[in-house]
Amino acid sequence: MSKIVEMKGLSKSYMNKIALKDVNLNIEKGKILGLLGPNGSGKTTMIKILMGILTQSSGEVYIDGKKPGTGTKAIVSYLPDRNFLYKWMKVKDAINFFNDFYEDFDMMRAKELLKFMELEENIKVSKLSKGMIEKLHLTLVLSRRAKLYILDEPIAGVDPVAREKILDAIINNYNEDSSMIITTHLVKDLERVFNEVAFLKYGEIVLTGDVEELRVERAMSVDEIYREVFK
Amino acid sequence: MLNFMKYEIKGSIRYIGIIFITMILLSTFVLTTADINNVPRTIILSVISLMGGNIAILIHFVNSFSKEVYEDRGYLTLTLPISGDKIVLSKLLVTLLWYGIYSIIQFIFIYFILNKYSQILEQPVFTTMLSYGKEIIKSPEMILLVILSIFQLILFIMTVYFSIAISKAALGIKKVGKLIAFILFLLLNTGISYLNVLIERVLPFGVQFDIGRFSERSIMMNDIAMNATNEPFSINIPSIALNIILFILFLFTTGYILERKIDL
Amino acid sequence: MDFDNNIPIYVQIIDYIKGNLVKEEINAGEKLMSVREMSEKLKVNPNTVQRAYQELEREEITFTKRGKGTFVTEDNNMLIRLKRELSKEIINSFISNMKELGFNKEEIVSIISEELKGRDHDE
Repeated sequence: MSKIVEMKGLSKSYMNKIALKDVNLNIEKGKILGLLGPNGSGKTTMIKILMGILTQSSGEVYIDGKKPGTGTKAIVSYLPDRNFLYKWMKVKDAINFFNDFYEDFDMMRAKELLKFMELEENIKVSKLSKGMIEKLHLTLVLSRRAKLYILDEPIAGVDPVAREKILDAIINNYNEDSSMIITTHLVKDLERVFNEVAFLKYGEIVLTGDVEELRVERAMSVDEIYREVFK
Repeated sequence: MLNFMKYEIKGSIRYIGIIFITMILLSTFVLTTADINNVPRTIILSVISLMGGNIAILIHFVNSFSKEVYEDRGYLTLTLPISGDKIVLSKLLVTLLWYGIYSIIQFIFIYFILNKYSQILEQPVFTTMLSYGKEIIKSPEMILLVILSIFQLILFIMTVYFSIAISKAALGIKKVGKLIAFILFLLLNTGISYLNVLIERVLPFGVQFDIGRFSERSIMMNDIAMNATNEPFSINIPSIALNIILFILFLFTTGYILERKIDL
Repeated sequence: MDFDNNIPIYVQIIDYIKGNLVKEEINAGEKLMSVREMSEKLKVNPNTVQRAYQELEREEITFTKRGKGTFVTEDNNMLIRLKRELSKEIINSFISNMKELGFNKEEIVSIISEELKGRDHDE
């Protein structure tokens, strides 16, 4: 199965609004996809469906050939854009937690990443700054040898120095057997990391493609394409 | 699932520890200052401290489940590779653990207070209650009583969990959701009580719990019991079966809701 | 390294490596950084680096030794040609710019000679 993610005719609607409309999108092994769009465009809805914490209204979703559920949660590593760690935890509690629940967690890598991110094990999570929390979240997520990584706004609200570290960690984590979905509206900082991009507007995919090809076709950066698509 | 329970315990131990210690200190104070002159005060303080502990644990476990569906920590819990029913079961078992430990602490204190008063007062009522209690504890039917109480507690907790989960799934809004959950909880418990009464009437296959056989003193207790209910104390088997079924129903329904129906 | 996001990154990587070759910061026969190392250094997706490497190999500027990595060709002619190629772009663009300013061929040549002589004196 070379397609890690398959979405066919995926739709999700609520009583008063349509969050996703007929989304068809596939992601192959070893690719990093940038999922781009403003707030409310449906990115988070799509991610929640991929994560199996939300059910679609119609259409099909497959993660490595399986429907989202308890099984796929074990092979998908998710970075939400929230402070999802339990408030009583210290850094080392969070690391041990992930180690206990995920078989694909690599403790050695986690320790290396903690060092790289300059995070102390004994600090309470509630005492960390925004940048440090993001770095911790990313450490936890990237220390798993997952098949799919989903990073929801990994660098939003983070200072430039922390941003650099996060970017380095993402590139360093790359391997040909897994794929990554990154959502962001800070396109400029991340566009060099993407292989492909998909633009989501009002729940519909309005443009997808290989990043380099798009640059050639339009003689524009992805950032500029973004501005055009969403102006 | 054991892992999840481990972290449930780790997360709650601080708050629960404080409750237990406070309650122990308070009760010790009451115990040591109890004497002939302040029986009413002692009784009131004992009741407050014991009930206070129970209420504190109640608040804790309600909040603990509420947070999973209303707060950001749900993004961690509900994305773990563990099925919804196991999450519910783990939380239930840890709550039972805390209630269990607390019950033991409560019984110890009640014993000591009754003991103290039966020694310093000449009134037979305390001595009666104490020895009556001792006999019940040693009897084989005690186990049934304990099991029954645990069943009650389990269903109580499960109705709370279910109400919270389903109101979040249906409504999503915190304030209204919690209110609806509470109303639903009341309705469910009323419904369950009614069902139990119904079953007892329709299928009265019970096990008699003959209190009277213990001793003379306990005949007095039996009279009190008989006056209250017009029947000897009995346990209805089909009603136990009903409660077990309800438990399983709530467990898997709540688990399913957590897995598929919660929109964080 | 600063990339221009308007043009394909892999093209810019190729130019960057070619530039290093010509400046002799990488020598003939030397091993290039692995795809991973290069991607971490340049902060780009490894696929992009891979693509650049593939293109370089296609142009026979580099070759891959299985299991050992990507190496610069030892063919000196190749490198001389590369130098010529890169300089050609610079020269073409220079001549066009000068012509736009209004200089003719003779003037361009004499200006260059003067400029170079002047630099000799300074050194």
